[in-house]
Amino acid sequence: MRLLKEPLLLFLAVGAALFYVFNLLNPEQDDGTIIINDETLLTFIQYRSKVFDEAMAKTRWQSMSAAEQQQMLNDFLEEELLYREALALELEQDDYIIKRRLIQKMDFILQSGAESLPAPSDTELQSFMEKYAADYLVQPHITFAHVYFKNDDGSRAEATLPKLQGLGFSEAGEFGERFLYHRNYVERTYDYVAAHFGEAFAERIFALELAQASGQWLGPIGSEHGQHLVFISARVASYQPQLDEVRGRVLADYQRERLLDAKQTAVQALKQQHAIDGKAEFLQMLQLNPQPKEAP
Amino acid sequence: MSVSKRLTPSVLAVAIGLGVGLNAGLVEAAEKQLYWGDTHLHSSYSFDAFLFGNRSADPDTAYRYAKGYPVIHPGHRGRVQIDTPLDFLVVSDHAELMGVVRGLARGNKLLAEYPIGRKFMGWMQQGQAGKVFSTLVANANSDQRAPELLQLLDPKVRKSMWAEIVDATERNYEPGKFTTLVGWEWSAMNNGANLHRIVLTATGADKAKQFIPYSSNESWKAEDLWQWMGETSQRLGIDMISIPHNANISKGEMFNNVDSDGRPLTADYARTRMRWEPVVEMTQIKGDSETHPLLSPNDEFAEFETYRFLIDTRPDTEKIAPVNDGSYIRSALKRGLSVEQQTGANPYKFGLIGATDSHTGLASAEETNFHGKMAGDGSPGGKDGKRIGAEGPTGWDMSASGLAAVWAEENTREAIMAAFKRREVYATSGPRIGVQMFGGWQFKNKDASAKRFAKLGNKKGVPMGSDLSAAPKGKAPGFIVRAVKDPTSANLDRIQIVKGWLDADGVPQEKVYNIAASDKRKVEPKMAALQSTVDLAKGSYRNSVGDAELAAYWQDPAFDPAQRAFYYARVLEIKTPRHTVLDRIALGQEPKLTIVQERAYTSPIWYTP
Repeated sequence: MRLLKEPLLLFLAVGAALFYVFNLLNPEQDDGTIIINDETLLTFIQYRSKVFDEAMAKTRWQSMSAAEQQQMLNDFLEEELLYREALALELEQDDYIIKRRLIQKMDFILQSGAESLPAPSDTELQSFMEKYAADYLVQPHITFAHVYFKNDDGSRAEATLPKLQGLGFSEAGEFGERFLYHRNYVERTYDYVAAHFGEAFAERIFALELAQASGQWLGPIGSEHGQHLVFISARVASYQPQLDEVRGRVLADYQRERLLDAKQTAVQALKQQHAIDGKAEFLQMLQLNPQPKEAP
Repeated sequence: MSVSKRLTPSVLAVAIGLGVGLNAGLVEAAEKQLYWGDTHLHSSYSFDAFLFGNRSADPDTAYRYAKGYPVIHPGHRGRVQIDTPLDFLVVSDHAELMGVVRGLARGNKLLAEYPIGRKFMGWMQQGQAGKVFSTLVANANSDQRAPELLQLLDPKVRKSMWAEIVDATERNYEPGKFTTLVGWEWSAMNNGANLHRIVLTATGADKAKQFIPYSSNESWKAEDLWQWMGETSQRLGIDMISIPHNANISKGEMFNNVDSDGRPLTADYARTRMRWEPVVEMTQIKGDSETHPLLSPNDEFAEFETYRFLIDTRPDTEKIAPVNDGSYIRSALKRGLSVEQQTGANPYKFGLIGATDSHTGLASAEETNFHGKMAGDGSPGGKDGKRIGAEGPTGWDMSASGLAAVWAEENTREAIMAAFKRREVYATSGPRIGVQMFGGWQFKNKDASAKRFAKLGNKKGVPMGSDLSAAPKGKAPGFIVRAVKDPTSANLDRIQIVKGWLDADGVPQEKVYNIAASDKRKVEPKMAALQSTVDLAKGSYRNSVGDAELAAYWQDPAFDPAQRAFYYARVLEIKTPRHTVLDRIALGQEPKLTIVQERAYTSPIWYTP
């Protein structure tokens, strides 16, 4: 029954059924007569006001003066006459504006079909998230404190290092010099660290072996600004978050994909229903096989 | 006996640890962090944003962009992403017709019940969104509101739209990581004079849903807004502030010398205003409001992103804003001193922030990654579009500005709100230039290079936004200022102090002092400009001039303890290409208005005798 879940196919099926029923109820053929009665007039008024409420249209009609009613009827007839004549002359053919308008209508139908589907379950979201795991991957980040030495060849830093042993993350504030930015970096990404210290420094502290890196003062490590002694208290490798951590994003992405999918599936189905022919090279690029046109 | 004296050291340590939230134990207690954000951003729920092409960037999209995730641009539909994520964001849609135009376009059933709703739905379906906008703005500028427009203001409609926005604010709040604040824009106009204000609260969804955001349809007078804020705050036990913006197009009314009814300002007015308006927007996309060359002829950097296009679509009205004291912030700070001398209270003693006022849902203020004022300006070709008549502005006139910098203990609603209220905040035109400023009577020259700058600053003096008084005999106030470049932007050119004061005759005066200069230049009143490194053909610059950090101590050389004064720091970057240079290159056109010097403005420190 997957086919019936496709909004377009469902729409076409319902449309066909309605058409069939309509023909059963109205056996006479449409002979092109312009019918002016309450029903067609009210439909016209609703289109004109772009509000689809028959009772309101009726009230509107009744509140018009005789002259306004006359004008409304004239407009209706004139519009209908010109429209029929245009159709008879086949003016709708090869009109790109009309074509785009029809395509737009199809888009709306497909979209509203996808939007009205029930909200996805956690299982569906979970498997969607897993499918696009890379999009939700949490960037690696690092937490560290540093002691900074400006214009240092490394010797001042090295001389300070023994004094820092035994001191914790936030206990070395009195050593070193004033740095441009922060003394502590908490849960910062590679890009952030690279913007403050330069690429080489960021690369080093993200690549240090963690066993030796954690919980002690290390260095000196050079940056764009000088030398640094570093205390890395945590480094988190990139990881896949749990659904609850990123639920909002996953849901939005899921719905967007469902919308695009619905349209793609519909377009695929239509490829099967329509004869498509032409230059072999183009058909090949579209991965289509030449199909003979059905006899009319 | 005070409470703290009874606390044991270990209890104190716990209390301090709790105070710094997620960073407990990692950051020294009481050391404030610098957080960056935008307090003024419109989504597709704003009527004008939607009518000018933002149909897709709703509040969720806005938060997503600010947090650093890629989103679809509402205009050109390309993928866009912020370079460095923000720390906080206020989605502040217009209270007037909040969500209504979006609702009209989406066939909202409630709106279709009103004749005016059906009329506008019709226009929009015929592609005449601009006509809807003109009608709405013309009405906002008019003394007499069209009664039919009132149909769109049914409390039922307003409540449901507001609830959607509040829910998004709540959904996106991650205390300690990313702060969202509930806010909106009160968009009052008085005969074409822009009196707009952003209103913010630190409260959560439960209380925010117990009021309907106050709009200019209730009143265009700020006094009425403040009264409503007072009543609502009291009723719900919450706090609010309002933040004026675009004084530059207020025809002198934003910082007037009379109230909304034309009466002279009183101490009462001043106190009420300062209760609710601790900060103002100094700079944003619709231009910089610091000052104007006509008002500050001796300030060589006064010509910066000036913007004078009034928001007035009525026929036969003035379209260009006059330049006067009530329209610019430096002159308003001066006027505040005068009013204080006359009445005993200063109505214009405010801190300074920047904000974007972008209508694209994208809080973008970088010259190289700027996504436009309205959705249509997001691409080079779209910048020619005019929205407010033939004399109106285009995308080329817009400035890729600004951001609010906040010194706060932690990244939460309460801490950020508290920083706004004590004015420990500052403005930049986009780059994240770090600035610290302290004023006091005991600073010495070497304090500017102190390692624990903030600790020393707080010990010997007061931070930006504060007051000095009671000058010790024979002493002049001294200031230590430290500025650090944005790690991803240009180097710094200089630090200046802007001083405003009342002279012996009570006449307001101003003077700009250079206090620190890059490239080992001697600090003098008139310094040679640095060589420009801008390559207009490539739209690039080099950091081969300027410094990464500047710091200085400065003491007022012309201090008179009997005269009221204020001091704020202005930090200039080296010259860089304006965002429009990149668009001109893309279009293969000659650039106009090519070079900018981005800047930071601290909140002032005031001296009162």
